[in-house]
Amino acid sequence: MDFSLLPEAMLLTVEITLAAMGIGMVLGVLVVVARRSRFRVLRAVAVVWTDVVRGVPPLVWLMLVFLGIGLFTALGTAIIVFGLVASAYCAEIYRSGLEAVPRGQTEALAALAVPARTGQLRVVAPQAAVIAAPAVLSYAIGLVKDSSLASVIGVAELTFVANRAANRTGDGITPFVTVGVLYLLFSLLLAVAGKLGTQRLEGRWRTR
Amino acid sequence: MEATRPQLAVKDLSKSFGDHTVLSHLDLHLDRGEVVALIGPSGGGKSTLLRCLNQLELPTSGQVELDGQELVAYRGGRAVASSPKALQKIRRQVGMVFQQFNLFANMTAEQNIVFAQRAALGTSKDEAHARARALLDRVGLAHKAGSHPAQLSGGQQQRVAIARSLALDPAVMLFDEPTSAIDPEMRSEVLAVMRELAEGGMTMLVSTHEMGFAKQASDRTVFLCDGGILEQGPSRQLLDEPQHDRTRQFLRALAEA
Ligand SMILES: Nc1ncnc2c1ncn2[C@@H]1O[C@H](COP(=O)(O)OP(=O)(O)O)[C@@H](O)[C@H]1O
Ligand SMILES: [Mg+2]
Repeated sequence: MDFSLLPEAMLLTVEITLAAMGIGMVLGVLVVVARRSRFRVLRAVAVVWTDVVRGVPPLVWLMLVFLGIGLFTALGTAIIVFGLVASAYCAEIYRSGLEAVPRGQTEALAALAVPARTGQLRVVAPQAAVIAAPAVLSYAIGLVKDSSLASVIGVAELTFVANRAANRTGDGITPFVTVGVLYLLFSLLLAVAGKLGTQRLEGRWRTR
Repeated sequence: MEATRPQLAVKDLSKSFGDHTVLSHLDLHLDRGEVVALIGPSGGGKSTLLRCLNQLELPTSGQVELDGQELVAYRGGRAVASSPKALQKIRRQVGMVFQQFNLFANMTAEQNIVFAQRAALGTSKDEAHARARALLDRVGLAHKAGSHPAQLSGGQQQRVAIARSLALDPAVMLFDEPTSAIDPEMRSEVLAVMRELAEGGMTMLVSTHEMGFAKQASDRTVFLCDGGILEQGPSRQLLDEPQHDRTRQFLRALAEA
């Protein structure tokens, strides 16, 4: 196989994963805010969004957006689709994080006449973030692997390059073992970096 | 007349959850500076009563008056949540201390007290810190200002919670079983703070199973059971010579426990 293609392929895998994760984590905040809004319409939109997005296989979304809508490049499609899907999962992770913050603290905020938004922002959200961090991290690691689906719409990321090499050379072992190891390394790197980040976030305090 | 108006008045207050009536036509007055102990069996509605006073719960009917001001708004015969502004005003005047302390886990003791003042009153940073340190000193925890709740014992956490509540300079303090979640050896440090507060003239309503505190530090004890006040009177008198069998039973069971 032609190993010179690997750096660029690796870069694409990293790019899809990190960009989609960035979109998902930010958009997820909006979705969870809508989900907990006092306006029923917003809540309904958020519920429909999370359920529909998560209920359809990512591969189907990729094909639908790439072939059906056809407005974006293959790479653009992958980042957008994986980003939107991640927003639905992140929103759900955030939501359970928010719900895991001891209710007593919310009552204390109310009893202390702290405006609701200030309390959510300064007391509830920081603790929810710490609770949610491990689940967000494991979603990101899952996304490293899911990003291989982008090969189907022609993004020349790791799996795509390996597949092409295997077809050309007839050797299916070398390319797939090679990219398998690269996926593994990236996942491990992400796990370690995430763990350090989480510990930093948590600092000296613990919620349980 | 100013002097005769109660600081806090509960008038014909009822509260149901669904068809489960917890409080039924309850009346209770606290004079300025009065310390009232609220005793009674678990599930008797002590927490619910306290929570109706700062509107963590809305009553089903009845009224709560703070210094003559009606707190509960009604629309079409139903109690409705006060506007955020009105609610904030009520809660600045009525402090509450919880059984589980409920300190903000992501903040140090001092930050808890500073944050409350800044968020609720808009106090300046310097002033909030100065006040926080003075209050921590007052509850004997100046040396724990930089500790997070997880690093403090139950008794210490509760003293911080009391300081945090006092930081808003409330007119009335509600305590909901403030020592029930604390190891017996650590309770006295919290009770001492409360006693000092009582002696300082704070109006206090304290739900408690601490008969020692009720007898020594409260002016009046109220026995709450089955949704109403079965009897009340000067603490020493009520606790030494209760008039009702039900009260006697309750006190005997407590003494044996
Ligand atoms: N939010 C609620 N929903 C339904 N029932 C409640 C709620 N809060 C309290 N209760 C019920 O009200 C009764 C009185 O509870 P509570 O006020 O906590 O009593 P106490 O503090 O004296 O132990 C109990 O039967 C309890 O189950
Ligand atoms: Mg209770």
